[in-house]
Amino acid sequence: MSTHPLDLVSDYLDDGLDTAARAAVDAHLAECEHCRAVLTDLTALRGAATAWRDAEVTPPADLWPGIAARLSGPREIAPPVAPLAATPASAPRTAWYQRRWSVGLPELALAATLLAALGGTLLWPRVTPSAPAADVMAPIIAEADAFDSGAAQVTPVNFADAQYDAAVVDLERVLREQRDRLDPRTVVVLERNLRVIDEAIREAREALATDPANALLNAHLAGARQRKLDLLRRAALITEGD
Amino acid sequence: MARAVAGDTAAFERLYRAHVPRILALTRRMAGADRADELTQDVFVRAWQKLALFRGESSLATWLHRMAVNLVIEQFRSLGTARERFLPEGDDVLTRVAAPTVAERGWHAAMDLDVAVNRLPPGARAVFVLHDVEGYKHEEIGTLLGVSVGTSKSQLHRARMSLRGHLTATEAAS
Repeated sequence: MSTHPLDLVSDYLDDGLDTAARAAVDAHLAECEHCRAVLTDLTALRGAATAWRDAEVTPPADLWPGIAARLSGPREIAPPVAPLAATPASAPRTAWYQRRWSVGLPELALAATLLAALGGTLLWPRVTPSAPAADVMAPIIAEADAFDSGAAQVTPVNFADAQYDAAVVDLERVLREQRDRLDPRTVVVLERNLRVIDEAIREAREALATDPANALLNAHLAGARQRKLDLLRRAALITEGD
Repeated sequence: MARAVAGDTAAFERLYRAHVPRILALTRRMAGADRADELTQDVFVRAWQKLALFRGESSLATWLHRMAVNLVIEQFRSLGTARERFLPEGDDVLTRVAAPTVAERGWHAAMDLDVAVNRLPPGARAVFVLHDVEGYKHEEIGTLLGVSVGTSKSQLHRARMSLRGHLTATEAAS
């Protein structure tokens, strides 16, 4: 390189060059004090930028009154929770649970577990025999649908806890039994997400204890409970193996 | 959180107090001090409107952070023309900063990024802050800003070189 390859310096700094280009820049840097100085400065600049990320700023004036004055407008509500239809074998999956499963659990075992937990007694019209997870959620779905139509705005929540809790307990047991076979990184992610969801459920239940007819809270709880069941179910399904 | 979802503004105020320092820092970095307060208020008003949609798949801090980035970029898009948003593609910036002096060797301990970044055009500032400060990838930045990956890389390089020029000049003058 006869001229200063400054346009490559940022990519060099970010490890964005292929082997040949990096070698060429290395060769130039070995001979060029000017470009070495630029690289040194940009390295320091990037380090300073990283440190800047953790900075916090105390508002010079309290911004809250200006925010509070604007909170009277309409708010978005959570959409009705969707049925948890069985995942087709060919359906695309997100990456975090798709990788590195060394041992599988047959899906039939999971379905049998869920069906046993449900005991076949389901009271809701949207139940479909082929989708046990959806069956568990049917009361919650109905609640959310009613909320969406406006009919449930003063209706206390009724989530058929026994059925839901039984399904959750069984799924948790399946995962506990399979835990040692799972990728530890996935277990960490799974447990962290479950803690977040459990906290949301706990908060919603506490709030509902004092305001049981609050439609937003009902929808919030329904969504959180569905997410927990969905997460447990997906985690159990991936133990099918690859 | 649940109480804020249900409409309890006192509960939402507690969330605001807990998160405003980092959101304000972010809006200042991305948009400058003169617009940061208003943008921060907009972030929390939008968060209030959408709180029921928060699914808990990330932390509330992450959710607010992403919302703030999107809101700043929305406002940024409404500003001026593309030419005014980014550093020029010509050689003027690089030429201006391409000759290091002895004084330049020591600037990095004393640099004032806040001031220097504020002198960048909005687009170049957004690319620099998103990549070097917030850790976004060029592909994500391209999607957020509606530019190509190549443009994001080019603007990052120009922003870095421009900042180096500003900061070394500041150091030399002090």
